[in-house]
Amino acid sequence: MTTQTPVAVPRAVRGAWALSWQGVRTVMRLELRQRVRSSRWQLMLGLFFLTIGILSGLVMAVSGFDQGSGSFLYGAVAWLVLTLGLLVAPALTSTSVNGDRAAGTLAPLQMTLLSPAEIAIGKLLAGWITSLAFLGTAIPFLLLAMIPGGTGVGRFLVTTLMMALMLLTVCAIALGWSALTARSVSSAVMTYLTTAFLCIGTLILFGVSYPLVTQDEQVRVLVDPPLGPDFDYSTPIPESECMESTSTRSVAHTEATWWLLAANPYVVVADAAPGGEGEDVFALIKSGVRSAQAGPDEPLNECYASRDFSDASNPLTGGELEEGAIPVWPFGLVINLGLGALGVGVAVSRLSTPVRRLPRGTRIA
Amino acid sequence: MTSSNPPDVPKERPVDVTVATLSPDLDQDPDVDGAARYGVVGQGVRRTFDLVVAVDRMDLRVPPGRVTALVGPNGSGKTTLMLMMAGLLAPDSGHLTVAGANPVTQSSAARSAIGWMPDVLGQWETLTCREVLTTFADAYRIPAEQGRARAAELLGEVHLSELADAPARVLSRGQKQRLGLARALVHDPQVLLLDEPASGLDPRSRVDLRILLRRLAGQGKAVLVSSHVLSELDDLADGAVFVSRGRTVDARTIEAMTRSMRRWQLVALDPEQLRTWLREHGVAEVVDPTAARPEHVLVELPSSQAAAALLRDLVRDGVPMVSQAPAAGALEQVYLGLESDRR
Repeated sequence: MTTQTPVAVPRAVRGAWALSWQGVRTVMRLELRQRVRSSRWQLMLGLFFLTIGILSGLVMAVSGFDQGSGSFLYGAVAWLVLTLGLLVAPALTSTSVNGDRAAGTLAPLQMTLLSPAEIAIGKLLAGWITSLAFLGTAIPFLLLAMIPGGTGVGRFLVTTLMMALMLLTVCAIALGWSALTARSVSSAVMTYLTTAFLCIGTLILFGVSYPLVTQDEQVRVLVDPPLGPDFDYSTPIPESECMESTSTRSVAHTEATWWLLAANPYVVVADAAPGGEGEDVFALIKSGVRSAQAGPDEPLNECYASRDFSDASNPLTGGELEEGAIPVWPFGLVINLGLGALGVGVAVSRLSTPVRRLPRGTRIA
Repeated sequence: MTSSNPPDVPKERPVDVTVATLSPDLDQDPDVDGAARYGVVGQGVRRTFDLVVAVDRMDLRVPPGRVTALVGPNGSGKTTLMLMMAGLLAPDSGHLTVAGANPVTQSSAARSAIGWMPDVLGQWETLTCREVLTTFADAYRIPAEQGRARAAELLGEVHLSELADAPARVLSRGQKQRLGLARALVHDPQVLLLDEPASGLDPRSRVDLRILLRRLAGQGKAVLVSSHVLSELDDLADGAVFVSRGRTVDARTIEAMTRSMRRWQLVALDPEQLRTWLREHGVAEVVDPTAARPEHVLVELPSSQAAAALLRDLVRDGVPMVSQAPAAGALEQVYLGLESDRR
């Protein structure tokens, strides 16, 4: 070699949060190339497709495939897709920092002009894109579940978008844990625990807090008018106006705790999706969380006898969405994306060089 | 970085190992060898891990235009020191300058000037050699066209052109080492920090490495090489920094030892005749039970002039001499001398 290609390395100062598309793309391409070329990846994708296919087939076999079961079918398949997606996503990102550290491939990247933020976000996007590939293989089944009817295109688009955002959150949390823990096993476990906390732990907390927000109160109650001692109970109860009175009842103030449910990824997806009716599991979640948000009805309706049950506009329970209720999903989205941002923030601070305090068990190169 | 020219540095290579001294007449030019501007300067660098002191007050200068060896026993803090110079680890105290930048506070400026080759090989198993290099060119924000040209050029340089499009996992250990070296050179760094670059290399590759590093030094780069293979460093290094138990061993002592007393190995057709002659002329034989062969006679001589005089006298008096040569590399002798000091 006699001549040498001159290389122009810019000397601009780049801080920890310096971000450029070129830098993010470099990391993303490096990550994706490695993932796509491993045979394990194709196997995982195939297994995922098969699993969703078999489970969707079972649901369809149980529910039938007609106009009446359409809503239920879509809800059930979407629930399956989200559940399996939340199971797969942590596995895709939870080793991205500590795995590279163990393999000795992280420090050389940190030595380049890539900023910690570019490395973190490049890894996050690579993990997310991989998760989206898994989501993509599930879309045919979602579309199939729409055929019987009862599900609008808007519902499909919003559920898919929200599921994608939930996967992004999980990937970001996984990234944070992988930067925080020394061993891949720990970060995978911590990510699964965090996801489980969001999906199940929030429900448990809501359930546990239920007695705490429940108390005996003087509330207005609508009751049947007294029939009097002389009433002949062998005759039908006459229809009459309900009477309002004040009485002591056990009342649950879920309007103070509904936000616990909002953090649940299922709630975010369910609450954001427009339409949905009847037995669609996401529609049920949505009406449940909205009534929790609204808190106890006042006056309490205990006017059973004098109600005309043939009148559909006057159902026994609230059933319909509360008028004037604010959507729950924006809160949930903020909580989830906030957790994701925390994960990215942790990763950036842990990827920053030089390291001052080396956590026990971690190595630099 | 390529446009900046380091100051004129002496081109002739000293015969003996010289040690970069810490304070070359501070009242004249504080940066007489250009190390502060174009190389590495460390002063009182210290780093502890929990209760273990890995590096305890190390001083060194790595001037441009020269290959400096970092020599010391296992666990003496060489790798920790290199990590601090590379800007991956912050020193607890002390001062470090790499190509004029502080790696802690001016991280990106230092990083753009440093080519670092770690002692532990990390590989992107499924990437091809060419992709590894172009990825790193991208990471250094080198325009894509330049990056591709540079990658091809470096692959030729380390003799991996034939394997350019093979995935890195098929490479042998030595080939991976060469790819790692090419990776460290992608952005044409002014300062090269190479941790054990020769380990796993076959003899041919070692020669190539030596030629490459000498040429890079000739271009004015500051090259720091750590290694255990001391005989190799003799041919490669211009200077050496000896570290032991986290400290730079006093430079002057080494210099004095190297200059004053060195062990020579004498081989004659008749070892007894040689020994008799030495006894008669009052030259003490060094009895070293670890010596390679009992028929080889070891003596300690204060200088090269003394060695020349001894050989002349031996030949004049008819002792059938076969060879007279330094018993070991200069670095090895100093190193072993330091080791024996410790015991």
